[in-house]
Amino acid sequence: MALNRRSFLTFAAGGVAGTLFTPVIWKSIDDSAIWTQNWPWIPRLEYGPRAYAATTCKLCPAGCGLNIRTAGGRPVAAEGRTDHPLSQGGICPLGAAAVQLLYAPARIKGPMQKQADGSHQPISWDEAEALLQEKLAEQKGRKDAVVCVSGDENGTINELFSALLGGLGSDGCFLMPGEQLVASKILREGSIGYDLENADFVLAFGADMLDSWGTAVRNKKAYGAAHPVGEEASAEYVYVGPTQNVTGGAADQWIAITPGMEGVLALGIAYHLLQGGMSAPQAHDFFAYRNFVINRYTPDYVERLTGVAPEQVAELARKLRTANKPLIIPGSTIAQGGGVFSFAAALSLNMLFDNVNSVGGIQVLPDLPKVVEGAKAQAQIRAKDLVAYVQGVADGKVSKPGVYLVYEANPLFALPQPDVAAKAFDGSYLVSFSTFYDETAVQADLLLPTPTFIERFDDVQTPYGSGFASYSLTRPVIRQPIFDTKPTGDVLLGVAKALDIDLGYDSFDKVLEAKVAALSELEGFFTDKVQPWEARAGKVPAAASGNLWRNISRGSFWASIQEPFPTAMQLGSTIISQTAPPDAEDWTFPVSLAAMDSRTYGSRHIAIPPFCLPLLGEQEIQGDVFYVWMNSATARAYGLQAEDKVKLAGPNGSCLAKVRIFEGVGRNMVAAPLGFGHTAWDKFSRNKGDNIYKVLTVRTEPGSNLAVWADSRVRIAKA
Amino acid sequence: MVLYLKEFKIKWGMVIDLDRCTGCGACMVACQAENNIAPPVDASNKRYSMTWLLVYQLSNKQPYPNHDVAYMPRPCLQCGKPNCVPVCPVIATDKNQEGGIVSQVNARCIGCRYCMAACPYHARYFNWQDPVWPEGMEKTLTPDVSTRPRGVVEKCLFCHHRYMYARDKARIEGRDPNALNEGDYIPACVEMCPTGAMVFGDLQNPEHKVHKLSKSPYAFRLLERLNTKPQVYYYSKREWVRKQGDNYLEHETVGGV
Repeated sequence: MALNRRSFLTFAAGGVAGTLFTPVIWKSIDDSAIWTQNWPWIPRLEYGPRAYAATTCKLCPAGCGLNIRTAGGRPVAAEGRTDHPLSQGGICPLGAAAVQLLYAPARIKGPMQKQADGSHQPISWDEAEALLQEKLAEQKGRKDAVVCVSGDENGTINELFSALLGGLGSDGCFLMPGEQLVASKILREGSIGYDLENADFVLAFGADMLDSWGTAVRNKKAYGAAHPVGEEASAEYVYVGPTQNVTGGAADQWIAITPGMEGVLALGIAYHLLQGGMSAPQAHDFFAYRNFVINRYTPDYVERLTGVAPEQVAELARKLRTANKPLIIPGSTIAQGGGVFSFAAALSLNMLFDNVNSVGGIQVLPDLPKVVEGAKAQAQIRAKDLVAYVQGVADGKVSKPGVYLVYEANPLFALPQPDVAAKAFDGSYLVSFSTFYDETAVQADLLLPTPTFIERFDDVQTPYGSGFASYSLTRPVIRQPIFDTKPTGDVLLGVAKALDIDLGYDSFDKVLEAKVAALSELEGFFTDKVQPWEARAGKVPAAASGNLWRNISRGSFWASIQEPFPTAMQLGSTIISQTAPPDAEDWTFPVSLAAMDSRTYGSRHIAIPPFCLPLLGEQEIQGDVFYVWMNSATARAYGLQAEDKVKLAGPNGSCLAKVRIFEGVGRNMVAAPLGFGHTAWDKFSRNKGDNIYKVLTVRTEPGSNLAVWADSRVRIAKA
Repeated sequence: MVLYLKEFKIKWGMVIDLDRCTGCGACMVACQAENNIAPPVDASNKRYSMTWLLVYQLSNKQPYPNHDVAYMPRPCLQCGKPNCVPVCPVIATDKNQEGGIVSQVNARCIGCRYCMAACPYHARYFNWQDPVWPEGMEKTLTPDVSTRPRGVVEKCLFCHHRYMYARDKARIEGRDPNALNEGDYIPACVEMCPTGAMVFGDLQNPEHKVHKLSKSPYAFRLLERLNTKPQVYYYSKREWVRKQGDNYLEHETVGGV
């Protein structure tokens, strides 16, 4: 049969019609739709009853209250607790990523021992504890042969470490550096609190209070409450700092200043206040202070050191004077490494306004009672300078300890000049109690992983920056820890017992119970009806009564506004004059380095969590290269343009980065984020950017002998 | 042709105070956890990363020291006249339910991405890669939001499942599910914001805060001149922020104030 055009068309049309009538094609389209959307590796959802468990966050020292949302008993999300004064329903990005961190690939899955080839092999808990006991027994009685580095600023666990070390004949219980160290140089007992909620003018010197300083979420809540949407602000916030960071960007005014010169500006303001006739006759050293400030901190001198125009300084003094309840917050931009000078200078302004233990001012907060026999007082632990110690060991001036115990800290990454720390740690037996496989754990001889705060009992006592003394508990949200981990408190108690050191308890839970029982010594209350700042402003709370442990372990927040002891008023003229910065320019390292900390980049002991990665902007990291920020004038001066590769070199280390032009950075300054450049952890945080801690330079502050590094300087050059 | 232009008695909306947002990103993390978005290993390639809510940094472009910044969280703006809806060939996206939320049916999406091309706000994201949760992390998936495969377009739905829960709760308590009180239904980002910069409610209900705030002279919507009528308002007392948000040209004055 001939195939002519007509019969072809008939055939084709018949074919098309036939296809439409057969179900095969429709079925296969449907199948392919189902198939394309049913990839076996896409997880199916698991259903179950929804519930909430109230707990406290331990990822950074801020101590926020978290509600862990569970579905069928599985934790699925972290939310801020509305009934917790330190979170009030808010949360920070790190806390929001807390639940997913439970399953981060960087988790250490069980105890491990380092092998000759440097790898870690799993061992049983019995073997691990026996090994720890053996190593500690070798050091028993040898003076200062065991050193503890704790990254937990406000947990009772430090008492256990300190008592255990005491039993072994050592006094080396250190905290990772933080503001509490500097504060302890000013206040021998108790700690300093800031009554933000009742202040109407907040002047922060350096302290990045809306992101990485102190009780950050509570600070944000106070800031938010003072700036209601659609209404007039009830308080003004001014930030003095080198970069327009989160606090600088959000504050009502940002005053750019050379890093480390915050104290000079504070005394520059004091100059105007004193000239205007302000006095603090209740302070013993007022006249010494007055003479020192008026003679030295003249407007010209202040301008030369800080780069702030004299009119601006005078204007700040005027604003402070006209405010009803001004509050001045001292601090370092990275909440560490600042000196006593800046701190004391800013603090002295509060005293000129008679702000001590007054509503909306600074508060002296009592330390909560100690419960472990033989432990050092918290104030003593806080006052020990880890960086100076590590430097001493590395230089051979201090004898090298036999064993280092590192708990929830990452000193081999997060101490300034980490190579110095590596030198100090080299050759000693290193035990890591870390939850995650961090840089210190990689080097450790023995890994004794502690569960995350979602899997264990722990506590938070008065976080630094809080305006009131407080106590809250962290409690396990799931029945069993996910991995073969053991709470460090229990490990320490077991080892102490085996070493015949009596710490007085069988389990860490009992230590916490004793701590809660000891709270009844102070006038405390639960914050279910009255908030601490309301109580300070005059509202009367009902004293905490009943079964304290039952309430607190179910999530109640205990607070106290009791004033611990009469503090002799001093403006600190002696310490301020002794620690005053040298009046010299460093031409070898001409550029100021403004390090930046942010909860987006994790915290001192947590690397950037997987869920925080999308927060990093295109101008913060590209692939594995991170950015350092400078303003266009600085970039021009060094022949740099946006996206150019640049090398930052300090006296001890250098790092590579790309240039981001950001006008919120001061003159002749480069801003660089801390928290990048991890070499351990998991694929989410490893090999991203470079570690700025390498470039920070430690110097000793004259007068206080404190190690400081917040004012580091660098050389920059096109790479 | 304008069948999709339905009017709603309830219009859920946000007012975001850009003077109060500190750009911390807690809302972004909260959104990821709430909506089961897989964590990316390399999030620096922004074309391929998935963030239903993105915080942009705005700058007044003045040199130091007169520089100023603002942070702008951008969820899906749930336009009153959405451009994405009429272009979808398979009606995977629509705006038809009371409340005025632009829906997205992941299982029906064929991945043609017309909606992405149509959206002037870049609020829609294409799932380029298989969503991968590290081993065990899939246990943290909430039972509320289905996981999506590669090849579909995703977007913010104002945590629509929370709306459903709030309505169910109202029904159980014998209240009218179409007359929710302020605070009964709040998306995760708004709930977690530590400064309270985001306010959520029914834009049509005078008893809700957003109703009044959206009428403030300081309130504006993104690219208002496109007439997409977003249900997300921004609020700023700073003129340069309003100018940038609405893409005003140098010589133009900002409307309202």
